[in-house]
Amino acid sequence: MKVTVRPFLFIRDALGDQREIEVKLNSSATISDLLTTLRREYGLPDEIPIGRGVFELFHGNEVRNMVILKDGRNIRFLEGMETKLEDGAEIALFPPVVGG
Amino acid sequence: MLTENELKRYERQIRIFGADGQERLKNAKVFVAGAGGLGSAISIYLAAAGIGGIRIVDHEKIELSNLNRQILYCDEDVGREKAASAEEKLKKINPDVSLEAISETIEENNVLELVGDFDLIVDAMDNFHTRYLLNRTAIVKNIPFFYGAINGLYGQATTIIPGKTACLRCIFPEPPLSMTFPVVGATCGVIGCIQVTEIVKYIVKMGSSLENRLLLWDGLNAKIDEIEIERNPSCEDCGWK
Ligand SMILES: [Zn+2]
Repeated sequence: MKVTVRPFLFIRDALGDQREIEVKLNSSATISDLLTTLRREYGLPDEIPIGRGVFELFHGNEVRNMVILKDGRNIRFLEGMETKLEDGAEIALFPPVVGG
Repeated sequence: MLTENELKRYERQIRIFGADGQERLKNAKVFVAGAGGLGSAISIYLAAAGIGGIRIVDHEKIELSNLNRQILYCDEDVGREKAASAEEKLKKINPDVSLEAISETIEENNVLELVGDFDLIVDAMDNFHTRYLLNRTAIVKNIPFFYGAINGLYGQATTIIPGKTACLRCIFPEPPLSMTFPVVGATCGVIGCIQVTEIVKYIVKMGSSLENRLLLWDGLNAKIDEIEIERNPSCEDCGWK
């Protein structure tokens, strides 16, 4: 199956400034499998340098500062990392922004 | 009714909103949570637009390092309470506005009272703990909540209508890790002005808003994007609504 990944802000920069990335996965793949593929094959890094600082996306295998939506719903409300993907699913990845 | 003076003062925007729209703005009461970078841009534009009632809450004192972005304050204000200084500036910008600045920390035990009978809440906070409180308060009082946040050259905003749109907790079920964030002053201007645009449209009932859409501003690459978001039916904050 194929899913569409839409990365935003500096996560998009880290993935080569592509608006959408089509990722092929096996039919039983989960969010966890998608992230593994993005890290191994698409160069999604553990940390992204921003100016003089660093923004951590992964700490080991744990997702740090990245919101993951599947078809508009936060995966925390679904099955988390074990959320199953279907053909045509849209996955948005973006960093939370906190300041004011 | 608008006075002669008001008709003149708001002439350029009355061309868009009409006199009835301007009267709606005059009768509106907006609660501004925070008088920092976002709060500065937001409160200045709300006051200039003729929002009749503005209540702004912030417990901090002005520091020199605030001045790259907190445009309500001047060099000579360093050391003063933000609330007192903000009130003074905003009254000078528009003396017709009923303005109240309160030097308090927004907490669980005072948030309902602080928001009182105001029509809507605009988020100008710098942390998710208080944002969740404001999100819940807006849902309980059934009033809109205008979220905005920034980090360096990046920003986000969305408009939350209780019972209709995803709430802040639907999008961010748990607080992001706290970290000190860099801020470029103009980013506060971009996001704060988007929030004010949303508020003004909501009050005069024009256009379409950022409902169920998270707007993302990438100032580094000068790009604006949006993500469609959905309500979570089992959301702990808005699921009952
Ligand atoms: Zn919710």
